[in-house]
Amino acid sequence: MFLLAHAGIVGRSDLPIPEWLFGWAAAVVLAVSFVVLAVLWPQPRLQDGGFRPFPPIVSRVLTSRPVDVLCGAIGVFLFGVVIWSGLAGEQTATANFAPTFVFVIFWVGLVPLSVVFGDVFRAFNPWRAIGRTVGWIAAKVARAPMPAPLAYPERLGRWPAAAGLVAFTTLELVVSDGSKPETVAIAALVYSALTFVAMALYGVEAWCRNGEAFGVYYNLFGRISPLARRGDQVGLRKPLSGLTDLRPVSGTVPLLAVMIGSTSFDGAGEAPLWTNIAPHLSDFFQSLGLSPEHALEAAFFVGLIATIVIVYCFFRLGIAGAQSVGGGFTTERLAGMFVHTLVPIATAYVMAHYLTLLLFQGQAIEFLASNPLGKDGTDLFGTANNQVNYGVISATTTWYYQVGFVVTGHVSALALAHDKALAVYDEARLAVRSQYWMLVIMVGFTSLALWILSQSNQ
Amino acid sequence: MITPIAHAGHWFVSLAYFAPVLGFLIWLGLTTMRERRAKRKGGSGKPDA
Repeated sequence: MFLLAHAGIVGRSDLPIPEWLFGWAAAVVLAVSFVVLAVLWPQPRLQDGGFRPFPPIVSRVLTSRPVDVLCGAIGVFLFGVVIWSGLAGEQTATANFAPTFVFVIFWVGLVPLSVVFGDVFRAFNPWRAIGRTVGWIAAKVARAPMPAPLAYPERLGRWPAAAGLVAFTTLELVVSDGSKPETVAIAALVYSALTFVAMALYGVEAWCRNGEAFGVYYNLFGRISPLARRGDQVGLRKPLSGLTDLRPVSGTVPLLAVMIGSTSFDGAGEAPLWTNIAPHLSDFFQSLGLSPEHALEAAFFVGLIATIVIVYCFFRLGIAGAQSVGGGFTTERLAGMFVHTLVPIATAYVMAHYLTLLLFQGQAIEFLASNPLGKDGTDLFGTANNQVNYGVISATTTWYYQVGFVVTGHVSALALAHDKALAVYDEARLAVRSQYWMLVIMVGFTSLALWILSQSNQ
Repeated sequence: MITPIAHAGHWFVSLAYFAPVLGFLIWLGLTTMRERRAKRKGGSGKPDA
């Protein structure tokens, strides 16, 4: 990524033990967690989320039409600023509002917000807001009910969302000028056009729920939150319980593989393993007639897809192992039953990998908001001359936070898997044995996460 | 020749990250073999009619 994604470039020289030993310690924590869960968690606890609504006045305010309209308007406004600054502003990525807002505030910053506060993006989703507004205006103009949209095809599932995320991460990690403001703006416009066509076909809410890539993406993270909305009520539920009613429709496992795999590729892109392979791949594509620039992009695209496929295959291997213990489930059904456990892992990967990007480049939004086009003389909020403070967190502290995120995410995933196994297996013995395989999956993802993080500091 | 040897230490450190995965896989394999052996012994231990 163009920005200081790996700004912890000052070496971590004052750790008490080698970095790889943190990986072993994390594996021990997972093993101990497994035993603790087996002993102290004998019944499912998360299948029923235990929703407790807030006082009616709170729910009425939060779910009211004026709040819905205001949030949608803010989302559309920010979307408009991205397009305007991307097309009309300075074309240096770090001097323009668009790339930092899209790749840092939006793509990374919304993840912790969703984990804490729930599916907040739904209210601010600019495509949803525009779609609903256009639908409302069309109904007023026609003075008749609009024709019903097509039923969303069951077989499509979350495949469009997975494809959308592949496209976005390709822009982020593969396209050579993917962070150029104009490229970001044009990509946003193209995505909008496709989204509006899909909304016209299948309806705004149906598309946002199933196919709109970012709506589906942040909804997954929002299910971790203890805050939830049920119809017109907002309230509290057990953390993680929102994931237990995730419908495992077609494309859900590939979607989670894209989420984890793309973050993995971003980090592994600095590992000697990749930097040794990439030139050979690029040479191969050049021999096919591609220009050096496109050959490198093709090589990176192959790397991105390969990483996603590796993550997918690793999860499916673990599921195949779990299926072998018995219980009468097919691997397809088991994959669907346990796919929700990948969401905390995806969260851990995002938070650990992009922590410094958020903390350092995220500060840049302060002066970019005052000068979105990056032109001399503009200072809307008096912060145009502010600078990024790189002293907010040390490299060593960053590493501890990263390990903390990785361990917390994977222990959460283990708890989810354990709870689900208790709910679906008739015999406790089979439930525990199936979880041996989930433990191996979790340890595998933990080791991968920490190895990738260590590579970014070579 | 020097380059591969120079990078060998780097590869060993990378492998160290995945040692726990290997350890758990070996444990899982041994556990599975033990359970299958116990199941076979339990089946062959039935008395004749």
